[in-house]
Amino acid sequence: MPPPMLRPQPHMPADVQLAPGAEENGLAMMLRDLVSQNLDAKPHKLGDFRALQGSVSIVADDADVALTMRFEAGGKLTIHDGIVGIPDVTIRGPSDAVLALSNMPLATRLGLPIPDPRDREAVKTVRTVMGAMREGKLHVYGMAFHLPMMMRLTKVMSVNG
Amino acid sequence: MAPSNIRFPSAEWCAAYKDAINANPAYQAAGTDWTHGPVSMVVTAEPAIGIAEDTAMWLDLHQGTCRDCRLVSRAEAENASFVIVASYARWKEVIRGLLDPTKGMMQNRLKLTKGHMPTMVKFVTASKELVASTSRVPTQFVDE
Repeated sequence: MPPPMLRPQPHMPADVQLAPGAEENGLAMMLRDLVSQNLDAKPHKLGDFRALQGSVSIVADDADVALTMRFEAGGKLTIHDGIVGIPDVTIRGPSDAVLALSNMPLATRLGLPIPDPRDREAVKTVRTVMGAMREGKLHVYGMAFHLPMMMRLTKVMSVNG
Repeated sequence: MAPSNIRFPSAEWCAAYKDAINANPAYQAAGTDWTHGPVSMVVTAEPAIGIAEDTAMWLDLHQGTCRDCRLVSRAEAENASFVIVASYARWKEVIRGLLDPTKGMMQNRLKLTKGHMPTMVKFVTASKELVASTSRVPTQFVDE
């Protein structure tokens, strides 16, 4: 008799791992904890996590740190040290701006991350990210070709919403 | 008269650090919503400079104020909601403003060994101001 289909159940924890060699990469450890704890606390994000497929590299220039996140459909993320293969999307910028991306307010109906003006932290975060982009310090390469993936990634990585 | 420098780490340094945090309006603003419990900053043992065992500063933080800061053992420090660990040399760089805490964590120089990372990210400005407050304490380093 064939084994029953193993379909991820809503209660199943997310599979987020460091690849061998990434254990000393501080940013990789931060993002592993960020994604797994975020999904534990906000299970409504699991659907987006399980639908993610592809690779995203992040380079924090001033910290001299890089990593690659490889998402497999069904809900598996492996984080590698450095840039591995040819990523679908590459995010490159200063460490503050890279971290601020996870703190951006989630997009509104207009499709823009407009912060609540009473939320000073959100306003500051948007200023940090937009300022870094305007000054040419923060780049997101490949975003235009992978918009659905980037929208899912934003929801999974965001500590808001 | 200029204040005399205070040995780091010590109970006196902790008391001065508490005052420095509470005198920092930027921390008070950024930490207003902080209700996530105490934070420990652990200095790893370095017998060569007189730190025989891991030593920690226990920060009882609540809604933008520091209610208490005291020197505790590593075992006690582990009871905090958030535990940040680094060597003496790294804390020295932080106190002198030479190492940004975000960058330090990304480089694995400062390690969050316990705590909820999404909360840390949400309160990144408060964390920075907390660390920035260390530089307002006139500090004497034991290895100098």
